[in-house]
Amino acid sequence: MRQNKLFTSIYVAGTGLSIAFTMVLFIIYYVKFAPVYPEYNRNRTLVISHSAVAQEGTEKWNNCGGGTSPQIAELVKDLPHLDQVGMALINAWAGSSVLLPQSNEQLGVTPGMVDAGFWKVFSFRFLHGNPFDEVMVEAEQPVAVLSANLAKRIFASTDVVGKYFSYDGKDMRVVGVVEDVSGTMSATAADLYIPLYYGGENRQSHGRGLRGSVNVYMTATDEADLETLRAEVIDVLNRYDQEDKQWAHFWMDQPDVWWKNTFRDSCSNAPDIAGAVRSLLYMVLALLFIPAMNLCGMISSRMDERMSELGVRKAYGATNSGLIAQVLTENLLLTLVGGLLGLGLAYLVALTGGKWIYHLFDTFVFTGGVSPTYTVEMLFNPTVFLTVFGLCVLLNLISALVPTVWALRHPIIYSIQTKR
Amino acid sequence: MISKIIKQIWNQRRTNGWIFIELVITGFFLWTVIEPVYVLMVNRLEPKGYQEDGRYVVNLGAYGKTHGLRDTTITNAQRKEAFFRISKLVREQPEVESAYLSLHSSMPNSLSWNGGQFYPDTLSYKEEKYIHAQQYEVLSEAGTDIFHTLGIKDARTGEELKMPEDVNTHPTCFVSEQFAKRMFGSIEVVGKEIFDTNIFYKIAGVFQEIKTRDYSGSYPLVIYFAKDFYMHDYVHKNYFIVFKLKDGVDFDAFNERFKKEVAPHMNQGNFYFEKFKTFADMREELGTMNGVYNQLRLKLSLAAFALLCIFLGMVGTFWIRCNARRQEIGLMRSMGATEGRIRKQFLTEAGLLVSVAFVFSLLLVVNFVVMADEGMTKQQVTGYTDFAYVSEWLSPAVQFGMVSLLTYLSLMLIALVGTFIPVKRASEVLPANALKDE
Repeated sequence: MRQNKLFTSIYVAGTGLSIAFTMVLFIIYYVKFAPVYPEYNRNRTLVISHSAVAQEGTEKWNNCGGGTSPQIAELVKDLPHLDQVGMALINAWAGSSVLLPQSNEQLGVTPGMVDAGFWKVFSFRFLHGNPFDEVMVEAEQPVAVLSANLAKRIFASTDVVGKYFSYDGKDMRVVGVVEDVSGTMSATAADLYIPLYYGGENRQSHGRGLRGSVNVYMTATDEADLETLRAEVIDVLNRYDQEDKQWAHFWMDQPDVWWKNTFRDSCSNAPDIAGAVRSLLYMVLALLFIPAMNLCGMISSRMDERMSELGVRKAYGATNSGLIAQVLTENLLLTLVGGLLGLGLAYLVALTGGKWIYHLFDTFVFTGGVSPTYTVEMLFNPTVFLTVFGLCVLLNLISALVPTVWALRHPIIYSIQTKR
Repeated sequence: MISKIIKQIWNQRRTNGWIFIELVITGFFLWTVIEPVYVLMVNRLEPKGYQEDGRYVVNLGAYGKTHGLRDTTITNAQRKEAFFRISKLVREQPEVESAYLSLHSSMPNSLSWNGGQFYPDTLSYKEEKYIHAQQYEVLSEAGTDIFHTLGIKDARTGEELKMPEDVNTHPTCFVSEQFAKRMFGSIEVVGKEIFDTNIFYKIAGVFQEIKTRDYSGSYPLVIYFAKDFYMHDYVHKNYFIVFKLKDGVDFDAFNERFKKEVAPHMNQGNFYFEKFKTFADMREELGTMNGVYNQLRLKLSLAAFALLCIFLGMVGTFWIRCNARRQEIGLMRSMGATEGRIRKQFLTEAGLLVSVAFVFSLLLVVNFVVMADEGMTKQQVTGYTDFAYVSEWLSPAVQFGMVSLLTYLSLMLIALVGTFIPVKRASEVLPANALKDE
């Protein structure tokens, strides 16, 4: 590395650039798909987040929107492979506010209206108190679970169970305080959580079959049972549809497995997964191949310089595969240095890029809601490190293998004679 | 000299091969990321067709069903009266020159967009010959004036349009220049009628193009007037008071006074005053929410990435080449070649390499655009943003040509800078030093 400073720095910079961009993409999707607090059960969760209906006899839907009816939880509750079902409406549009007693100012907040099952589907860490239960939800009680951040803003403490605060002009009792959830967790991020039916909201469907406003989350008893549960839910929905003489339902391939649901941005169409994957793949290929061509060129020139050395080694019995392995290992070392640099850059972009990085590929970006921050758990974990290593190996293979094999195809005598 | 350089490139084809392939791939990739950015930029250059300075939108809040301050005895009819009283209150402020009541989708930079089909007559309706147009629905409350508030001008005279007297007695509309030309082939259409499958509207005027969304080109637009609206819980999110301050009024001072003296009187019908928004605020919100800014960021980052790779590639390739040809450079210097001549030779070599590679890139681009029927931004920019129409200024041929030129120039510039650094270093070497290696 010290002997060939220019080669090393260009090699490391090229690799670092490639890894940095690819890892930013990876981190964005890792946060969307992987089990992260409090959405640890993503790999065994099904989601219904949109609904579309038409009056019976109509071929195409004519009313659709985000959310569905809470009646779905009733329909699926006895399915054999269902572990838990929970519902939520993260209402960032509500314009709700809480009173900050110290300054007497109203603070705009994002409430999560959730049922008792929500606390079982998702794994919140309670700092104090407990979640509200089914009785409290059904009774529309004015109780709330606060995020640690909001608890501190209102009370300057998180140990506030039993205390009251003013929410939208009404008193509300704190029953629990949870560890903050990052705004990147779109299903669970809220400033406070209140009973789903509080104030008589969300209990009814929109008067059009199973149209409604809540998202329904269903966990399977085991990850392996997810597809079975999906089939059971589809069966239940189909049977309901047959019995409903007034409304026909269009579920657009729902319920979704978690990762698929992150691509669902319209109530009128199933998500275009193939299109999204195609454009991502195009980007990743460009991010890997363009720098790889650079590295190929440089390694090729370097191999020319080392031709006589390789010739001598071959003359003393070194095999082609042994020499290829040696060159690949040498380059892997450089690639790993570049990989580390790239990962550092990717972290820097993720941590300083703020909200827009998380929403980089989204077709709709809500400007309000809880701020999407990246946590240690999201950035520093074995999957991220293994991916960087895998990318380094791949980049190394793409860039070093062809020039090395090319250089070694010459006979020993030619190699030795190239430079004396 | 050129033939010597071509020979040189050919002789070193193996080393050149890698950078050549990289240039071809990058040229293609760069074209595809520059193209939507270029379209967005051209769209932004098209005149807005309305005035933004001194114009504001009143954001009202409303106490929801569960809010502690909600007056549950208020009926919908009372709420509607309250809404009009609030509108009048804003209009009657001494600093306010004019105002209008707009449906959410009926003001520039709105998050909402409303459009429909229009026919010149019932026969066309039967034959399904229509023009699709965006619609601005404006409440025709006495004393309101959309044209003066937004500074919308007559396409024929260039003067500001006037609100007609009979707007409430007969269904009336105004159409954009583009709409008039597409439907009637002329802008002399005042007095003619258009049909929206339900109502016949009499055209009272033709206005200069209005660009509702900053990142989009203009689209045929029809402005018509409604007498009434349906009152519901979220009406404050559907209808907005848009107003223009008198020239010379300081907005900050007005805002302060308004919040203190006027806002408390707006607490009626379960409404309350939230804030004023500028059109710039709305533009920012729209660009962010529709993902347009993110698309721009993504495309520009990818373009920067590709160019940086090319820069590194050219520096690396020519550094190695200059080292390998050190003796040749020394010989050339000792024979009287100037530093400039040596630099010129290497830079021409790099320029030729980029140009030939770009021809191949363009072949790939043409295949992408024509054969695969993809690539060129058509009706929707990038496929991510709804209703982002390509400006009429931009013909497909100009679009293709300009994007290709921009791509070629960026590629060439970066490649030459990347080449210049090692070449400068090599050309500065003294002939004696270079020849020592011989």
